[in-house]
Amino acid sequence: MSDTSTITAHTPEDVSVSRLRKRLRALPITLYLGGTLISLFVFVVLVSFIWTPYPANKLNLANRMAPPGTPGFLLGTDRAGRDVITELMLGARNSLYVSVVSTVVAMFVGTLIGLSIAGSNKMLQRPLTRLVDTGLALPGILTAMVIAAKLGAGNTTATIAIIAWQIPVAARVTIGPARQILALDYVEAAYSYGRKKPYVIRHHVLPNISPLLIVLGSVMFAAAILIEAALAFLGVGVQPPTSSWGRFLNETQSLLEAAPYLMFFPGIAIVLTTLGFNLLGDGLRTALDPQQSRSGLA
Amino acid sequence: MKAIQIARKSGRRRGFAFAIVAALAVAACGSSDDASETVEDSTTEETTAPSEEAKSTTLIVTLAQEPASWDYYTVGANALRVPTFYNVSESIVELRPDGTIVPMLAESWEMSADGLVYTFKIRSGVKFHDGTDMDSADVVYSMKINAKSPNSKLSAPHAYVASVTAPDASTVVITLKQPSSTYLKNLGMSAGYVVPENWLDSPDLTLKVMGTGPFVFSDYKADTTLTLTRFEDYWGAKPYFEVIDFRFIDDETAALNGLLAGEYDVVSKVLAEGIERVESFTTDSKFKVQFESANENSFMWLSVKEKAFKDIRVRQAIAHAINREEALAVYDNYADVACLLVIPDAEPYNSDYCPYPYDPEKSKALLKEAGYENLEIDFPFVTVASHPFTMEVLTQQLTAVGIKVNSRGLDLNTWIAETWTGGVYGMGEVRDSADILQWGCKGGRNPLGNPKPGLCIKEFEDQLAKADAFINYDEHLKAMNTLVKTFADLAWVNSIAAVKVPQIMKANVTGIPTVSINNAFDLRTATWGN
Amino acid sequence: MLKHIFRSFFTLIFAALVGSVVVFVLLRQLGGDVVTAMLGKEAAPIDVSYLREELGLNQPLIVQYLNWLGDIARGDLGTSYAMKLDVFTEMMRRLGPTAMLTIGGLIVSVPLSLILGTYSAINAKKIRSGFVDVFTTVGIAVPTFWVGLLFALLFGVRLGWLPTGGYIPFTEDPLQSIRSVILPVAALSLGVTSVFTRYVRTAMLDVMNEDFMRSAMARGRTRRGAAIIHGVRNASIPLVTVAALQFGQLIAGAVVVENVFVLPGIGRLIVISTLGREVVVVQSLAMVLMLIILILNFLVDIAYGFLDPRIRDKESVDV
Repeated sequence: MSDTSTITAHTPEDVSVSRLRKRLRALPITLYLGGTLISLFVFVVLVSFIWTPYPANKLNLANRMAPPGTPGFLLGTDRAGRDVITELMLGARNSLYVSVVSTVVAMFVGTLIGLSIAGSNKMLQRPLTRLVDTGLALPGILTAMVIAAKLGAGNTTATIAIIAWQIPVAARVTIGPARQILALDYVEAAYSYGRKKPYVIRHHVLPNISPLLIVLGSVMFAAAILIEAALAFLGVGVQPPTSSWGRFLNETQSLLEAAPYLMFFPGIAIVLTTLGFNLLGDGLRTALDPQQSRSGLA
Repeated sequence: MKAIQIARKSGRRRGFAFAIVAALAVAACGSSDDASETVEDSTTEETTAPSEEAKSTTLIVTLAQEPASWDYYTVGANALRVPTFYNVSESIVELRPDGTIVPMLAESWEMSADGLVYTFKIRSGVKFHDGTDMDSADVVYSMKINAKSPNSKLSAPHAYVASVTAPDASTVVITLKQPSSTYLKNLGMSAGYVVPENWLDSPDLTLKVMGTGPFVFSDYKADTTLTLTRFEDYWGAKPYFEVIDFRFIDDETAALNGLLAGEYDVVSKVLAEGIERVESFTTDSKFKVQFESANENSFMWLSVKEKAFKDIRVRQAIAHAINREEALAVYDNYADVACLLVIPDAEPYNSDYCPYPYDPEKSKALLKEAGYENLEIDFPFVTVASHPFTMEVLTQQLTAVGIKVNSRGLDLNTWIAETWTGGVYGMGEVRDSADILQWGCKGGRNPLGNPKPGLCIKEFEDQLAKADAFINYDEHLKAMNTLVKTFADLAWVNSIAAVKVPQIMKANVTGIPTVSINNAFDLRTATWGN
Repeated sequence: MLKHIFRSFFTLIFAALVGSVVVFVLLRQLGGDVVTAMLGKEAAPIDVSYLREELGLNQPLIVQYLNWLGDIARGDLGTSYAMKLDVFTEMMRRLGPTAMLTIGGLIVSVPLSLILGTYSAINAKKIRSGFVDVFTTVGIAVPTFWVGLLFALLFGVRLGWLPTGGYIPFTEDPLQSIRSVILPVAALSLGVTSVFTRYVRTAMLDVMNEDFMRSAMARGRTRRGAAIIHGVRNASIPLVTVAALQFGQLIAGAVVVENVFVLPGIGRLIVISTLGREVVVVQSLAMVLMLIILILNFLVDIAYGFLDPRIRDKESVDV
């Protein structure tokens, strides 16, 4: 951390245009790739609000499982005769909504809880940590099923279920490393300068655990989509008329003989989005930690 | 400069990464395609060695559903009767698929001229699986407790029973308060269950089914297996198989994969997500697909508590909005259009009568006439099996005539609690095996019965009582015919389709009937073919 | 030391109690009860409240809660309402497949992800780490049920090497038992390994920039040698947490895998009992799972102290 070259990189010098260009070029390629992928999905989502080839959840029961290239259905239709492109676009909207909202909320709340516990009184730490463990131990699937039974299946239900599932995860991942950093010499030294705990956490703990949090975020994002798919698989997930990639993918498992290619549409969408977020996460990590961009490009 | 170099390098790396994703995708695609081709190869070995299989006296059958318990007295689910009725439990008489009634635990019977007194001669030499002999006392006990069961399948048919007596060890006399043409038929189903005296007090009540059938309920592991073994003291012809190994597999994809791999012999019913895979089995000579004739109808019904639905024009409008032909897609067309609620659909009083054919224009006109052009309906549905798909189809069809449908997905028991018993709904949809008689005020069916009759339609109740009271068979049929038509005319309950349930098995399994009585998966005559 | 154990025990009990209230309240939110589940659509239009009375469902909630808690305290997990099965017996029976799944999953995924993650971190600049990245990205993004389905089709149906489903208890036939869980473990491990690999990689990348690594290299260690000897040890601190988390996630994943491969495990018991409103079964089960995870995490915290001398020196080990 005390490498001199790092410090120079951080020193604000004259921000001429050429320097800015150089800075931008120095940004990791993963950031661009991930950014492009995610922008693409965001673009699709935005378009879906204005236009989709067919209205939401329009069934063409006479034209079920039409192969790609069928006139009027570029990628064909699904099991209920819904246009695949429309389904994918609307699915992008709902899947991104569910996963982004749940990841952001769970990360924020979870990290906050984790940091608070790590920074709390030593006497309180253990019982509080155990409470988080209790939250972890509560099978997420159980919470999800109860919420689905109570609220009825849907986007909101899925989001709440995933948040409830993920908050303890985010909290638990944060506690250990945060405590570890709080125990470091230079952090302890910060106290002696009269720094308050919130300051120390913001300026010393958070930057140091940010790589971990970024990985956590990208993993949790993918997990959100997968949990949604798993809930659909178990019959407690998002229900029509809400389109979702998870539900779409789940439906295709019975179409292995009838229309095996269908699984690839939601499958590829999920893989690419996950990839996008992972690349973005990696890129961000590298960009935020210049030292790593030299030694071990993420 | 260094950074740029790294970036380039990593760019190439990522390009490579994408190539691999693509390659994996192609590989996965290839493998799943190949899988369905080579399935045949692997099963060829299975079936080209019939000598070995012919020797096997164990039949492995998958079951899609498992009951909450084996307490036949309380549990209402079909799942209890599917593996055990006929195989383990028997009834006083046997209802044959053609509708005739033949002796079972009663050797013979007589009905008095006024239709009020039934005298049964109980078969001798019948043993229960616990080794005790069955006599008239057991039958009297069974009839008395069945009449009190909270399960309407058992108790409702006994509503008109005045007394049950046993003048001697082989005679049982049942006296009715009023004639009932369907009583005897019902004794061939759940209402006719015969158990040993005091079985209700047995600690085994919830753990096993006790009866006199050709197979003994010998071992049960929850969520795993139910093993039936041949009952060597069975009074009738002994079945071929010595062991029936039922496997509980609710994931139909898994069940069908296991069948493809030769691990199971029979997939007893395809009820849910496996339906689209059935076609590939019909074209595969290694397997045989039978369609169990409909004893389940899919129907939608309206809540009697909704003000709008009290106007028959609104109900008619809804009925006219339903395109049944189109809705068959839900069952991959393994179903027939059914406007009448006749279960099983082979009943002689069934007909093509369809009071409200698909007619969206008429539907809109009726809604306008009734002043409900902006009708909104709350539609809770069950989130498993065919229900979400049916919901989507119905929603689309109702939306087309200007009705706003607010669907909400619930798990089965929440759904039952809210709609079936709680009455919190606008409309519902279900696949059910209840015959028309259960829709009376005392029959336990919504919207006209359970829990507290919200509405007992006099016209229907009168006809119901009348139809059941005819002792003359032809008159009974005629009355039943009128009854089901009246029921359809009322448009509270709109039958949509008579569902055919695919049974998929290895090609050399024979003797499994395609008509199921009381939901039984009857394996008495099952054997290996050639 | 005794005081320390007592305090740990007290915290455990406290957390478990809070958990028990949460589970109890949560399950009371479900619509319908076991009587609904038993009678289904066949409920006769008669008063069936006597059934609820018999099952003790009419008692005030607080009484039900205290009864259950009292039973648990005496080591009695209760019996199911409908089937009257002893929950403990049923749980033990189902522990087999789930234990084989989760332990098998850890045995496969932890070493594999340590290797893959370290490899990827050491070769971060090289193309070959791209293989690992692709593997983890796809592994993270592909739902377990799909992986399971494809495995079942490929190795079960097409090649016929392994059964497509079902479970044979280890005590009955060890070889067949292991065969029956190979595909489920593989399906389960793919996602877990991918996630864990990413954590390992990140942790390793962090550690490799630390001064002690540089000095190790300065002392003549190769980059790889330094990474393996010092890196793994130091990176293991956050990883132990993540591994414990993964155990919880493994159980969640097991639910799906148990469905796909027809394994009568704990995961399915939770789902089936919840759907069937067997609340006592779910409560007791959730309670046992909580205790297991609480104890595991407690051990993890102790392990922290041993793995990180900085903590050991500065803090008491007992947190």
